[in-house]
Amino acid sequence: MVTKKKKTVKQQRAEQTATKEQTAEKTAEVKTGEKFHVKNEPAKKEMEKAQKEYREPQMITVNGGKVTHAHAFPSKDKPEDWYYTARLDGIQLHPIKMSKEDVTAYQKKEISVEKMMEKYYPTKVAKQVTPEQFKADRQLSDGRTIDKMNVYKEKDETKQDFGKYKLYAQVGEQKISQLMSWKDLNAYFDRVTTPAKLVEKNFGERLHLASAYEKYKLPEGIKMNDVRVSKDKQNGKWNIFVNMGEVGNTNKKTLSFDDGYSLFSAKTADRGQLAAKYLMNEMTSLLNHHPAETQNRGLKV
Amino acid sequence: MMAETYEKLVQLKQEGEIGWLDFVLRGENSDDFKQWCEDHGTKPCEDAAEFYVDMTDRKMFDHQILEDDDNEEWY
Repeated sequence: MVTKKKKTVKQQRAEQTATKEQTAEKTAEVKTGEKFHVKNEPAKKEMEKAQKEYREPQMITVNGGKVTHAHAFPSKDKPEDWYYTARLDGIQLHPIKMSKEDVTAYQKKEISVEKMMEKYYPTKVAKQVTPEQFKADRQLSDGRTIDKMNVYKEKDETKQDFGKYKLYAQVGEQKISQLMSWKDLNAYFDRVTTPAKLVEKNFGERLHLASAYEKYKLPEGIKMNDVRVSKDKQNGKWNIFVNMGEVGNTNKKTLSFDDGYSLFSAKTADRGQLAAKYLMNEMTSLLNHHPAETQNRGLKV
Repeated sequence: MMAETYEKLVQLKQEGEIGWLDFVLRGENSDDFKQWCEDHGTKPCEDAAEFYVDMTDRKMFDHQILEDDDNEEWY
């Protein structure tokens, strides 16, 4: 999290909104309507002043940030929905909707501020990388260097992701972009990730990195030799399927260009990894089915 | 130079007199924004300024939530 000396105008606005919400809650409690605000203006100011006063931190983050005002509150419009919020070094954080389990735990005081912050504001409490580390970590696991990386908002109204944030990277001649998840946006903004990690995570397969395929593993009982890759003579595309022995074959799935490239040219993916990527559900399903039942289904096909 | 008020900057932005970069640089968070850019190795530009504003406004990102972002529903 960037250390902010001053509150942003938007944050001030958010705080004003929060203050209004709290005032509204107070109004509901005393049930005196609008007149409460008019007659108790000094009291309101006193309350606002008190809010700004120093509070003992409820927790100190690993980066030294002070968490205060951490609390949950019900939505005004939908009281069954609860939100969690806090301030970090005086900056109001966006309220985030809580799970029902956490609402119950919070009401019973069974969940700590630390746990709530880790769950709802993970990038605010995670260890930041230094600016130097952030700027230096631009080398991918295969040795290539990220020539350029930035986050931008899609401005093309004809695109489905118009108005959303995307990650752009240039690695050698390759220029690629992709919609970013909220988690990655936060990680980038709060500097708890690096360009290399973001690019590996978002573009690993498109850059044919071996690291991108490591997460795919064949289920137990299936061997690499059971995986077949064949070329469709009609359209020239490569298909993949698994010979499951007595329970039959899986359906054929067409490999994407990038996966085909990773298999045949870059050799950063093997058949087993690709089978796990494309056919894991089907393999698991076939393995879990009664063999006889599967056999019958196979005969019908 | 004194920072301009939020209301004034909003008005200028809405009238198209200034872009996101001026919006931030002429506001009271100018230094913080410049520090953020420095820390991220990026130059202060329109895209960076818009991103900075969006990330510090709770209402701007309602539509960015993706399916895999569990427990991050906003209002």
